[in-house]
Amino acid sequence: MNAKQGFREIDHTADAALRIWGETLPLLFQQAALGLYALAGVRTQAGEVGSQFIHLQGKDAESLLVNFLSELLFILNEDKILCQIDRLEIHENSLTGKLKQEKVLQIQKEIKAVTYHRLKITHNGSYYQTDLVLDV
Amino acid sequence: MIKMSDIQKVSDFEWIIPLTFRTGMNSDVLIIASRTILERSLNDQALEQAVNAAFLPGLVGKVLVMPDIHQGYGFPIGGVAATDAQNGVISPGGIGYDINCGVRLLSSHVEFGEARPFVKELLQALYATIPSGLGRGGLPRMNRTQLEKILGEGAGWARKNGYAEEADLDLIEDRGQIGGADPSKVSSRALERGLEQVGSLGAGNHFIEVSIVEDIFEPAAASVMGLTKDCLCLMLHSGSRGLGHQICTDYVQQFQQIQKKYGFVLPDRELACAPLASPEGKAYLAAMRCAANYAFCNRQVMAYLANQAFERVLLGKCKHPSLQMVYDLAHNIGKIEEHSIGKFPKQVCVHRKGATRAFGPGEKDVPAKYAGIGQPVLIPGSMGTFSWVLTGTSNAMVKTFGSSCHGAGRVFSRKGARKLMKGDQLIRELHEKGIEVMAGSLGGLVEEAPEVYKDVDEVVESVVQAGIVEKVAKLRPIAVIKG
Repeated sequence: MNAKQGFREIDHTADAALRIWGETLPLLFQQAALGLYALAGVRTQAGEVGSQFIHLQGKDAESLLVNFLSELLFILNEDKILCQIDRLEIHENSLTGKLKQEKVLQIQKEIKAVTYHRLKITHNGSYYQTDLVLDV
Repeated sequence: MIKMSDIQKVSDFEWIIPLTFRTGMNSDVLIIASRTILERSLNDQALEQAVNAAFLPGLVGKVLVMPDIHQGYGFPIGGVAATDAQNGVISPGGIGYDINCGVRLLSSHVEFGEARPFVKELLQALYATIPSGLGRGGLPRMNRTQLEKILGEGAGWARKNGYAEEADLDLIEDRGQIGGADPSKVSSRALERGLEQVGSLGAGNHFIEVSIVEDIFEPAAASVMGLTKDCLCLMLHSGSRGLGHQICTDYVQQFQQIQKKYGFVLPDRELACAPLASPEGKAYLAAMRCAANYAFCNRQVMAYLANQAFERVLLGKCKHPSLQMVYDLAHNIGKIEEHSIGKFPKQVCVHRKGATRAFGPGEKDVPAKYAGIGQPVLIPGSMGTFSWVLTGTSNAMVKTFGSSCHGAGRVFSRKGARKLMKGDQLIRELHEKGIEVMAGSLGGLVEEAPEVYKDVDEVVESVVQAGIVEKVAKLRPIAVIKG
């Protein structure tokens, strides 16, 4: 990995998978969101159209990540809104933050869901990292 | 990693991973496949996922793997597992996010020779009539009351509203309406997603395919199904759209919280489950049935729209330009069924994820029309290869809880597929083979190229040789819409 945070698509036979890394959990979550939008091929209109607060609970960091991305996926599919992270805080089993909204012009690929398959967030001393499988 | 040396040969088309392979397994894994397919399936995580599924509590019989097996999430795709309906569990990950993803086949008496000049026009008409890709369906946005009726009545709602004939319902698995669906167990979000997608194909591997009956292997069965050599057919592959995805998302999330409560320790969190007799298990079952009914209705409405397009294009140009139902089945579903275990009948919950029900002749859930030949089993190939029409056998009832494969099964990842070729190149190659294609996205089309799938003929040969299905006909594609 040649950057402090990032994501890349990795092979998965039926669906889609991402390897994601970041120096902090919020940065990992941010990269996961960027990866989700990149896989879906989302194109937006320039400029912010609004903002919203987010507050989620989960039994652990993995649950929070699936909850968070599922939330973004619902907003993308139903409201045709892409959310940029303005602020994100993660404390044990809760996530709070503020999201900046952008209007979606095009979604190239349908992502059905974010899965827990083999999901494990690890920390190697420098980075948080995880592999994430998305149903497409 | 699982190696060939871990697998015991039963016959040329049946293989066992014994429950002693890994501590914690509750059953053997039976693989239906030729040696070639089996060896290739060791290349991804699919068999590991089948072994993981064998950890589920309350399993009855063996976990089954079909020859179209490939890596999914939780269960492998091409997996079947039955759990005790009284003391077993239900796992949303063993059914999938696209609940009641399934296939419908319609036949016609239109000969390819007379329809050939109009194939492109037919493809364009189907593309214009049936919404594909992301977003809304072919019917206006429903209100909440209408949607809840669809969730309860499934294809029955379509009949009441003029999108189906009574006879159509007889030729749908469960007559297109699974009892016990309860919309109160479906979240507001899932309902919201279902309001405007009735009559929509969706994206990914969903498709509409116009094909020709290329070859008939069992003339009597083909005749009962209305399949005539060289005549056109239409196949639809779609599911429960955003409503089903959201129901599965909601319950997988909810079930994460209850694993400890019920003392379940599973090797993959995507297998999270609930006892069928628990409030959580009953709620998921009721919600999952809502999605199943939605999908039956969805495919019925699309079939109605497809028939309109078919008649509009071919009327006055071909004799008998209309489509008739052959069969409609689910291949991502959990069903409470009665099977003989040893000498005694037992109620089990059969999880079929990327697997098709394949009930044999005389079974009570097989439509009267097919009582003598067994339930039609519909196996789509890929855009450039044959699709197959098979029938279930009494052997399948004994060996596989009346189940068979559901398609060719992928071998290449989507990422790998995009490196293989470009979309316009694929369209050109298919055109040269006599197959016209329309797709919402060229990138999405490439991910579904025939080269990324196994050889469907080899997959079908495995299930036939294992004795769980019989060949009836094979279909050659001539026009395809990819969502």
